[in-house]
Amino acid sequence: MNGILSILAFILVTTFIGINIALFVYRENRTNILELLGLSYLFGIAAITIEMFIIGLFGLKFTIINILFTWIILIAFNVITQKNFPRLIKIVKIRTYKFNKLEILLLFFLLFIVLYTFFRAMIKPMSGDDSIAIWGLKAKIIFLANTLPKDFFTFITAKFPNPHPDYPFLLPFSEVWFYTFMREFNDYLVKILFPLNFLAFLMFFYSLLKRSIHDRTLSLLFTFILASINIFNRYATTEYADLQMSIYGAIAFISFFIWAKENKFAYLLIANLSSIFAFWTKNEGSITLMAIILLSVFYIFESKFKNRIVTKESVKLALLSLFLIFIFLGWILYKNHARIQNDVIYPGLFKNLNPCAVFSRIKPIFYQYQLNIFGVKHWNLIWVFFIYCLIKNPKIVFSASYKYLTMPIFFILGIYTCIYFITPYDIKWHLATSSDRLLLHVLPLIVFYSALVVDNDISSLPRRPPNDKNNVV
Amino acid sequence: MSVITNKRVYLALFVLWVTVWLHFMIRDFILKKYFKEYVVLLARDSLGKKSYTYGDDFFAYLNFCKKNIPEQSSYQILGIKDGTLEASRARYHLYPSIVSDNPEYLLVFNNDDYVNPGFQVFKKFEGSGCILIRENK
Repeated sequence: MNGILSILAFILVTTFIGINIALFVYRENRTNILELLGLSYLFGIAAITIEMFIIGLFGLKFTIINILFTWIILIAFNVITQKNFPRLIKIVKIRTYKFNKLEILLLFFLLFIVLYTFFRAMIKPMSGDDSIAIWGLKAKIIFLANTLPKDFFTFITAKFPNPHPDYPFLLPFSEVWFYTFMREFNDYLVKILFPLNFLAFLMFFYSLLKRSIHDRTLSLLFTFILASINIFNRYATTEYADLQMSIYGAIAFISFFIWAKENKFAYLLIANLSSIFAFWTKNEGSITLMAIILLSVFYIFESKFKNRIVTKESVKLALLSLFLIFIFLGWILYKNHARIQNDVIYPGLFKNLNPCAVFSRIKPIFYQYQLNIFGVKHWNLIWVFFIYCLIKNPKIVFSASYKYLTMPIFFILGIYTCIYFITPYDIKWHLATSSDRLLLHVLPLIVFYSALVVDNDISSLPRRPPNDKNNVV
Repeated sequence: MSVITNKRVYLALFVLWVTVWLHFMIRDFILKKYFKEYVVLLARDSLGKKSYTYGDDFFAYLNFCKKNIPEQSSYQILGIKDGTLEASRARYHLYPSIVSDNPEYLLVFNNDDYVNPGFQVFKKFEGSGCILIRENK
């Protein structure tokens, strides 16, 4: 019972920090309760991990007071700037709904998936290889030291096999924040973090999809489709960082898409912040960060070409992109200072590269991709359906705001494929152990894009009210 | 294709999607013995669940070691292969004690008769295994 209450308190405090970030981001833009809560939890925990890393660099102890103290400034800012009523009420829309039969069925499926995911996550303690040998181990070392030890990178590199010291810290510090809050090392209850991320993201995904297509049934349907993909909910039950990577990457690109469509600055801020969080989750997040910078540059050039003037949006984009570049370079400098490097991409990699060997990798790479595309056990029919959507409506793939979803998908898949061509590892082993996780990183984007295409296909008829019996997809 | 035909195609795809989803979920539940595993795990507390996941004997041995060697000791573990999941679990579970080439303790799993010059028996494990300690310690 105490454990459950402590977990609830942990969720409330983390979400409260996130709500303050969200209030700062949304300002006068209206949102709905699901979007606000989902984003608040995900941003709250990510922001706390960055803060813990910074206070750890200064050698400060990780106590609840030390960690929460920093947020008082932001909370005070929100309290001071609110007028008459709490701003939270102003920005949140709460409505009551009447659901049709299909929606009730989808809600039932979603509830089942979420509960079953929580059950599967919590039935076993942390036990997977990478989850203990990389992420969990780092969290345990940092929690027991109660700060970021000064010789942390040297220590783990010397004392443990393949600890991947260059991996970013979002996941280990999330676990440390959980242990600190619970005041004990509990690698059983900490697993709640993973399905919580899953649930929070589904709430956010549904809200943004609904915002884009204005069709509740279709939004619920595609939220169910995403949630029911075996590999997506399985990674919410294991202790790997790939689901978080997928989540923060998706929030970044979907928010950028919404901003390009609606021109609401809040979503541009969310996109930029989320790309930083993706960068802070896994090394692959650097590709997310780069993609957001490139999208911004693309938007600036496109806008200059169309309008022949530098718009306000372009200036904002340029400033935010500079900030992202600053973050990127900062982390690279820190890694160089700590003398840590990646095991796949490192200086001198190209010296050892044999061009003939690179070409011989084409076959295994595409063989592995087709295994995933037709691997209905793990992916259901989503890749087949996505390809169908691309072929069916080739005109819209790079049109209007759609291109802000499709360009990152192709960019990320292209970079990942290039990495397979140059990896120093045995290509078959590397593909077998990582290709599904890499494809997972773009999964929410392809589901979102597919939903837009379906909506485009069926929305030329006037919509019926939601309680109409015939209103089915 | 008309909008109505599109809707029918998508409805058929949705039905196919749900069928595939349910098929693999139920198949895993039965064929992969998830159901049996859940029944066993539900009957255990959090330590029991960890024990089941690690393997009961191995987990009991790791706890025996954790209880008997001082924190922050150096050790080597024998009886499990290096680079395996068991080796990772042992390193993780026994931290802040760490593996060393020049260990204070030799943790011998699944072997009662192991002898190493320079080490003497420190503790015997009720199952199969023991802890050896460096003689001059």
